[in-house]
This record gives sequence, structure tokens and C-alpha cells, in this order.
Amino acid sequence: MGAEYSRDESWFGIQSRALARFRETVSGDIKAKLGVSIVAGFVLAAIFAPELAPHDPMVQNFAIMQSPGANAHPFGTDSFGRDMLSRIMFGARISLGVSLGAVSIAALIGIPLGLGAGYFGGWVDDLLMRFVDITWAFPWLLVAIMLVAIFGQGVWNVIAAIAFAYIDDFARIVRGEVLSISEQEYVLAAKNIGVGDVNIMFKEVLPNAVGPIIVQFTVLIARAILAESTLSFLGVGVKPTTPTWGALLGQGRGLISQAWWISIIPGILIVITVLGINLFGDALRDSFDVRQGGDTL
Amino acid sequence: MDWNTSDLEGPRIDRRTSMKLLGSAGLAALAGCAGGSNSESGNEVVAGFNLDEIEFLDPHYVDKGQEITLQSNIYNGLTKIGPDGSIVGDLAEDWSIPDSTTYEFSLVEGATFHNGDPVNSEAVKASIERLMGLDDSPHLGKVDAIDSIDTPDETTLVINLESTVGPFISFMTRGPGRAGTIINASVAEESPDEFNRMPVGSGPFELVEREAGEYLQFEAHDDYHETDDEGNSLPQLDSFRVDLIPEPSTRWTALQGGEIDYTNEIPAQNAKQAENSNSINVVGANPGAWFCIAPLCNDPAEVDFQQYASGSETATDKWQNEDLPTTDPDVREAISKAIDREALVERAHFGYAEPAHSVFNPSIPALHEEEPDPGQYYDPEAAKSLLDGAGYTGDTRMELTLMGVPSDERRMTVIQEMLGEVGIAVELNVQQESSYWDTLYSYENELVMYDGYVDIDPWMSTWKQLKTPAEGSAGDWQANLYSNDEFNQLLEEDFKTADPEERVEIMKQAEEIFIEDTAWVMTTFPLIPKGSSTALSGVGNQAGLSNFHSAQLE
Amino acid sequence: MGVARYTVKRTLQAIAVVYVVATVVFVAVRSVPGDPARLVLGGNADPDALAAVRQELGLNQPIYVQYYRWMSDLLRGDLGESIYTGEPVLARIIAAAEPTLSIALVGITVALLIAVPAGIIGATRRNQWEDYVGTTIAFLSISMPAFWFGIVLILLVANNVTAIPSYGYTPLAEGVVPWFTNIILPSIAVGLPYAGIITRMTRSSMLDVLNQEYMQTARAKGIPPRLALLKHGLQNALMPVVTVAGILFALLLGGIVAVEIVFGIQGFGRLLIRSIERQDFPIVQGSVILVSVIFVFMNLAVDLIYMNINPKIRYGGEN
Repeated sequence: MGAEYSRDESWFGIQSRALARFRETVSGDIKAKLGVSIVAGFVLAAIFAPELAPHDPMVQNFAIMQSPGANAHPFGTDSFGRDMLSRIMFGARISLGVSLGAVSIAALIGIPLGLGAGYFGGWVDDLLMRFVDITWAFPWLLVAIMLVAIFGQGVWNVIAAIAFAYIDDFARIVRGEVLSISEQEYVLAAKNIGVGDVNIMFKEVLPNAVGPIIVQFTVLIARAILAESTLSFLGVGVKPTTPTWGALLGQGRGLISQAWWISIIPGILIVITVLGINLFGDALRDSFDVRQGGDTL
Repeated sequence: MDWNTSDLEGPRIDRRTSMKLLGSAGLAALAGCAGGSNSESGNEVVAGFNLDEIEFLDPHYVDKGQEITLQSNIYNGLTKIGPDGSIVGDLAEDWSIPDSTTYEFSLVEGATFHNGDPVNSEAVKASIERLMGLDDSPHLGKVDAIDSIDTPDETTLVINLESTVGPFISFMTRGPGRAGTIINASVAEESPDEFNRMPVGSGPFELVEREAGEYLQFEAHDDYHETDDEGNSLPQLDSFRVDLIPEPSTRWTALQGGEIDYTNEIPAQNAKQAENSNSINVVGANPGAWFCIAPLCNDPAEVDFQQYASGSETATDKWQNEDLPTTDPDVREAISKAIDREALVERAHFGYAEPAHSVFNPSIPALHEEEPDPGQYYDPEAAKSLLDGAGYTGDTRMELTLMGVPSDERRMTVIQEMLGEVGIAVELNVQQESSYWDTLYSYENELVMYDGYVDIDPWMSTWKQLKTPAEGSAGDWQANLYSNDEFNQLLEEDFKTADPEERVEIMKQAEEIFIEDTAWVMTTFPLIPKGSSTALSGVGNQAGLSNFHSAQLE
Repeated sequence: MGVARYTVKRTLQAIAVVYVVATVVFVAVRSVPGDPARLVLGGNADPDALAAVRQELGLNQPIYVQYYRWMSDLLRGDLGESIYTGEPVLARIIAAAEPTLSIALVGITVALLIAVPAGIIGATRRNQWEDYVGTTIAFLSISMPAFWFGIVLILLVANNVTAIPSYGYTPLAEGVVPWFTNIILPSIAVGLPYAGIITRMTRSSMLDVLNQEYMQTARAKGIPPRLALLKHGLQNALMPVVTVAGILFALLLGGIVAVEIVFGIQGFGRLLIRSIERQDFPIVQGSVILVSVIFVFMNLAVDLIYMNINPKIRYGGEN
């Protein structure tokens, strides 16, 4: 009556199935295609910004400050005369870096916490999850402001504060998944054979939880971009010359009646990008066959 | 007509009764519009102020610009800053200085506090003595030198100083002078906390209601003693309400939409648009403010006077291992010559500023000149040769850090670019307001953005902020460890000189040294764009204040 | 372990969590550079004046003394006084809470009124144009920073409609209509992202339910579709929505801070931010404690409810 240890449930098997399903999902669904293309565009613009941007994003030219979109400057210039298009492209780079960095750090901390809590249960579960509760109850805005108060404005403060906010997301999702996976036959089978706990956690359990993790990853990247814009708006974000999209929003907000493009265009791009990421995440969710369960959008 | 005795008693006669009284005396015309505090009535002004919260309105404690602005409407001083920026009498009709340590003031008659108490020489004396008794007031230094105060009669006040204090008369102004604001000392002593929240002064407006963080409601002080040139009793307005709107774009929208009649500060970038509007007036008011960059002039580890300014006995040893270029006066001069002040006015202030070529700002008319000689002027080529001569060559000659707070960001961005043009790479370090001072006194940044407000006497800029820090109040706020003995001596001489003309001579000599040493790199004298609807007129903006004494609404 | 014991255990742990959070905040605000005394008196204050203020506030004592005094006050329910205004912290927070709660409640109500029907329509008319429009709007709304949307609303609505002010807060005591017209714009700004999430959740949850066997059984039995929908479908569909809605309340509070600043509303979010910036320790500490109490115990309640629904989660992996 022993359960059998099957290769199909292993890491490789899951991935190829998921990839196939992903391709299927995308080819059928307009929304998914839209999502994928937007994300691809964003990533390409971010990576190749130095080559693609028509101007240096830092060069000030007061003769043409606050001018609307025209030939040399299709998206207009900001209140220092800097080219908006170039700043937006470099902004994509930094926003992508900040959100990727923040969410990755949150994952690196949150996933092991959830894994351990769900797998071992008992007092380990209690201890780890209460630690997660602490990070969740402690206002991340306070963390952001304190970091800026100690270190001054800068990109790393933003990354740290946002990462802090998302640890609990990963921890809870992973724990939930692990709880159901742990009951599965192949895990019990592996235990029967005598595979060590760590091995089981990372080779059997985690791979099967990858679906929701990846979906949550994309969801949080979208939220991180929004969170960064809020921090920059509050003055506890990046340095004044750094062109993150949130910073561009903040710089333009007093000028909406005079030079609407400074704020509105980055705002629209944030919306489109976050939209694309969410659609992309939806497609991923479909392809991994993930249920809504208790996770957030 | 029948009167209820209680209606006629103090501390205040209500509006209806006042109307009746005036009406029955045939003075109805002076009563103004019969409007209440309803904002729909024609004679109330709604103002939006750039403030988050007003905690304290006790002038003996307060030192913040916005609160000083409000106090100027609530209180009188012995003297005040007149419309053209000169110091004129407020509660004191006239004054004389029989010898260098005695000031004799002749007070106006008929002034009263909001609660009905008379403002006579005893009351004024009580107010000043109250300040003298406050250990924890930031303004103590201004009344340190007072030996005694005499009140020979109701309208004469004599202040005897221990020694000559040159700037003393400016300390006696309401608002910017800080110390001379006259309060109702008996009320303040009875319940200091309540006084802080609901002050009692003798000015044209009384605070009648406040909602924390939302608004303050002021009503006209019926018995206010001042009249305008035509003999009309002031103030003309019945009331005004100050809504607290710290978010600049919201304030601007509210002004544009007519939700507020006045704002004490429009963001400069919107002021241009306001200039072209038919329904909004913009005035650039000079608040006696100055902006500069303060370069670190000495290694804190090598001078022992740093502890008097920073308050900590040990200093960073960062500069023992790292080069500190700003200790070289040639480098400081180069930095000064690299700043194109006229361009900075346009680019960072949108035209709402004046270039600052010397330390004396426009509200010190005796010393301020538009093109002072000597002065700090833009000369990038000379800057570069100075740097070459100092041993800093190459495309990037040096890397410096410039520290400031979020409200300095725009200037910092432009300055970074300008210094880059002469080969100085600048990294921006933007700190929160709350950590600004600690960071400054850590002396770890070569350059810091520094400023002062409502400095109407050179003493305020130079004595506390440029004199070498010593025990006592001199050099208390020294931000950048500047030290020059000759300069110090001149400042001490100025302090002991009462005659204004002599003081001008001494300060001019001091300034020569200031420019030669480039103690600070002056940048601009900002103007505050004050916006109002075209229906509102008569708001006094001297020294950056917002005085509603003579304001009228059409 | 029985349900009762589990509840007690979790409650004790919740208290422990709040205690740790409170202590961390206490230490954290004192580790940040800056001197509250200087912030009270203004930048250029005399050292003697500063020392006097510090003495008065008890800030010159060693940190463990301050901690002891604060903790003992806390256990008696005393949150201390504001460094700035001297007002009791609790009173200050409660005063600031009214606008914030108004925005949150009106925002959520508006959001639910739009989102739940939209989600249901999206599910029942899946992949038709109503679904696409609804989904697109839902996605758009969660992709927008709340404060930016607020600025746009001010520009488009408040500027053109005189009845709707662009800033400030009118207390309920002054009348429902003035309160509502003043609160509606910030509520929409805050509620919209929330609406987007709820729409999506409702939709997918309804879809799940519509496919369930018992629905098909009901249809087979001839029960009119709408009745079946309402009785069985909605109940089951809304359960996960309800549990998530509670957790998402936390999300809402994040967006509220920036919206309060944009609309000039002196609410709880703005109070917290300004108090942190001005190092008004007692208010920061009090606020964080209150918020964490709400969060932690709400989370606990949700967990306990969820535990009743899904036995697998119940004992958390104890074998």
C-alpha cells in the first residue's frame, strides 16, 4: 500500500507541463497576449534604455522647459527641460529593478519561512508565522520613513521598505500550499523511503507550490511599482534626479494645469504596465491551474 | 433702547450688541457689514495657509515663519515693520534713546487686549518680564541684556539695558523681532497651555475657534485701536478663517476655483500661470530670507570649538583620512564663482527670487545693495583657474556631497548641474527635515544647503551663524565651522554699538572679510508668491508677512 | 487540540505579537537621528532651551527608564501625551480617526456596490462584451496609484462642480449632505483599487461556483436559474470574497495616507506620517500599537473563521 515515488511530480515534469499549458493559454486569449506583449515591451525598454533613449535623461535645458510633445521630444520636456521620453525609458529600468529587487528579497525571506512553517507545523509553525505577523503589523511606511531618516533618500531604502511589506504575502501563500501538498501521496512516499526533510522540502514540496508563487510574484511586482510611486510622492523615495515613474508623477503633480504631460504620461504608463503585468499574471495563473484560495490579486 | 447689563460687560461684547451700541450712537457706518461668521457673508476672507498643524501661538516660544505670520495679526509689538520695510512704531507711538543703554517708549492710548484688559505700560512691562522669566524660550537671548523696566506713567515705558545692544530696537518688533510681541501676561501666567492654544493679544484679530489640523477662525477685535489714513477704524474685515492646506497643488486648485480668497504661498511654478489670470493676483513678498550653500571650512576633528555648535564633544574623524577640499578658501571661492545666480533665480525659483551676491538680504535696506562690491558673482572661467591653482585638475576635479531637505530639491538639482560644469561632481544627499540638524552637525558632508528667514537685522544672520562658536550664545548655530578672529572682533563691536550709522560701517568691513573668505556661498533671496483673488486687497506683505489689518473684500 | 484551546493559544500569541511590535517601534523611533526638542522649538534654538524641553519630555533619561515608564503607563491604558500639543494620544488619534474611517467606509461601500454586481455580471456573461468591459475597468482601477487618481478627480470634478469641494473634511455632525459631498472624491480614489480586486474575486469565485455539480443538479431539477444562482451560488461565492475583503482592509489603509495628503484631510494616515516626520514619539507609538492590534486580531478572527470552513488548515500540519 505504499505510495509510489514518481518522477512526474518532480521539478522538471512540472515545468514542462506548465510551459506547454502557458503557450496554450496565451494563444487562445487576447487578454493574455496583450499582457505578454506589454510586459515584453516594458522589459525590453528597460534593458535597452541606454541604447534606445534619444537623449541623456539628466541633461537640463531650460530654454525648452515644460514644452509639450514635439519632434525632438515626443513626450515633451519636464520643468528642468529634460526629455520625458528618455526619462521614462530609464525610469522603466529603475522601476523594474526596484520592484524586481524588492519582490525577490521578499520572496527569499518569505518563502523559506512559509515552507518551514507549513512543513514542520507545531511550534515551528507558530513561531515563524508570528514572526511573519510582526512584519505584517508593523507599518511599512514607517520603515520607509525611518530608513530615509537614517540614510537619506535613495533607491535601496525603497527596495528594503517594499520588501519588508511583502514578506508576509509569500510566507502565507507558501504555507497554505505546503499544508495541502504535504498530505499528498508522493510526499508521504518520499518520507517512507527515508529522504531527509530538507530534501523533501526543496525537491518535492516546493516545486509543486511554484505555481502560486510565480503568480504572486507578478502580482507583487505590479503593486511594488505602485508602492514606489507612493513613496516618491511622500518624499521618502529616491533622490530627486532619479527618474522612477513614481518620482515623475510626483514632480508633475503641481503642474497639471500647465504641463499635464509631466504627470499624466508616466501615470498612463504605470497603468498600462501594471495592467500588462496583471494580465500576464492571470495567464500564468490559468496555466498553472491555480485556484483563488486565499491569495490576493 | 434697553440694555442688559450682562451684555455690556466684558470680556467681550457680542456682535449684535456692538451693532446696537454703535447704531444708537450714530456710528453705524463704522460697524462694517452686518455679517456673522458665515462664510457666505461678504466680509469674511477664507485663506489657505501652507501649514499642517499649528501647535503653539505663544510668541515667546514660537520661531517658525508661518506661525509668526499669524501672530502678526493677533498681537502688537512695541514696534513693527512698516509697509516699506522700515521699523516704525506699533504700540509705541514714538521712542527715543537718551543714552546708549536706555530706551524710552511713548505708548499709544486706548489699546486693549482681546479680553478687555488695557494695554498700558504695566501690561507691556509684564509681557517683557514674562519672556525674561522663561528658561526654555528660544528668544531669551534677545532680552538677556535688559536690566530693568520702569513705568513712570501709563503711557511711558523705559527699558534699561546692562550694556549697549545694537540691534535691540529690532527685537522689539512684533513678529520677526520675536521678543517684542506683547502678550497678556496675566492670562499667560494663569494657564500657559490654554494660552498657547487660544492666545490673548491686542492685535486686530482674535482667535475664536480652532480645529486641530483643519482651520483657525479669527474675528475682528472690536476695540482695536488703530485707524487707517482716512480715519476708518481697523480692521475692515469682520473675520477671516485660515484653512490649513499643506499640499501645494491642492492649495493652488482651491485658489483657482475660488474656494479660498487668499493663500500665503503659491508654489512658484504656478505663480507664472497666476500672473496671466484675471481673477488672481500674485505678489512676490520678501520674507527677509536668504539661501546659501555652507561649505565645511574646517576639519571638525581639528578644532575644539565644534562642540559648542554641535553639542557633542567628539567629532567625526572622517576627514582625517579623506581630503576635505572646502578648507581651502580658493576652492570655496571657485564654488561661489561657479553659481550663475541669475539663472538660478529663473530655473529654481521661476523668477520669484533675487540673486544673492552678499549676505545682507533686501529687508535690511541700510546694507542691501543689488550689485554689491565686493560681492559673489558668476565667473566660471575664473572658477576653473582657481581650482587648477588649488591642485584640482582633470575632467572631474573632485567629488563632493551636498546635503539638504526635500524643499531644497529643486535648487539642489540646478546647483548640481552648475558645479558639474566646472568639474565638480556633486552627489545629492536628501535628508528628512527631522534629521537635517543631526546630519548637519555630524559634519560629514562637504556642502550643506542652509538658509534663514525673517532676518531683518544683520545680527540675526551673522552673530549666531557665522561667529566662531563659543560658550554662550555666539556662533550657536554655526553650521560649517568657519572661524576668523578679525571677523569676530567686528561682530562684537557691532553688538555694542547703538548708533545705526556706525553699525553700517562696521558691518561693511565684516562683509569684506566674509566675501574674501567665502564663509558661505550665497545663492538667492527668495520671494514668496502670495496669491489672492482680485476681490481682496490691502493685505500687507512686508517681511513676508500676511497682515490683514487693512484688508478689504469687494 | 480542541478549538477552544487553539483559540486561547492564538490569542496569547496575538498579544505577544503586539507587544513585540510595540517594543520595536519604541526602539526604532529613538534610533533615528533627530532631536524632538529641536523640532518643537524650531531649528535655531538655544542649547539651554533645548535641554529644558528635553528634560520636560523625559527624553534625557536612559532608554530603559523611558521604556519602563512607557510600558507601565501602557498597561494602565495610558498612551501618553503628544510631544507637540500635549494632548492625550488616544484623544488625538480618535479625533483623527473620524475622517479616515469615513473615507474607508464610504470607499468600501461604493466599491462593493459596484464590484459585486460587476463581478456577478462578468461571471454570468463570461467572455461577452460585458465581461470584457468589466474586467478591463477592474484591471485599470487596480493599476492606478490612488493619490494620482485623486489628483485627476480634483482636476476633473472639483474644479468644475462647485458643490463638491476639492479639499478638507466636514464632520458628520454638520449634516450628512455636506459630509458626503466632501468625502466622496477621496472615497472614490481610495475605493477604486479595492473595487477592482473585489470584482475580479467575485467573478472568479462565481465562475467556480457556477460550474459546481450542485448548480448543475439544480438546473437539472428545473429550478429557475436565477433562484439557484441566488441561493446556492451567491452564498458560496461570497465566502472567500468576505474573508479576503477583511485582509484587504489593510491594503486600503496604505492608499489612504497619500489621498489624505492630496485632499488636505487631517486624518489618521496623515497624523501618522507627520508624527513620524516630527518625531512625536508618543503618537507614533500609540498609532502603531492601535493599528497592529486591529490588524492582528482581525487576522486572527479571519483565520478562525477560515479554519471552520477548511479543515485542512485547521490544525496546521500537525501530524
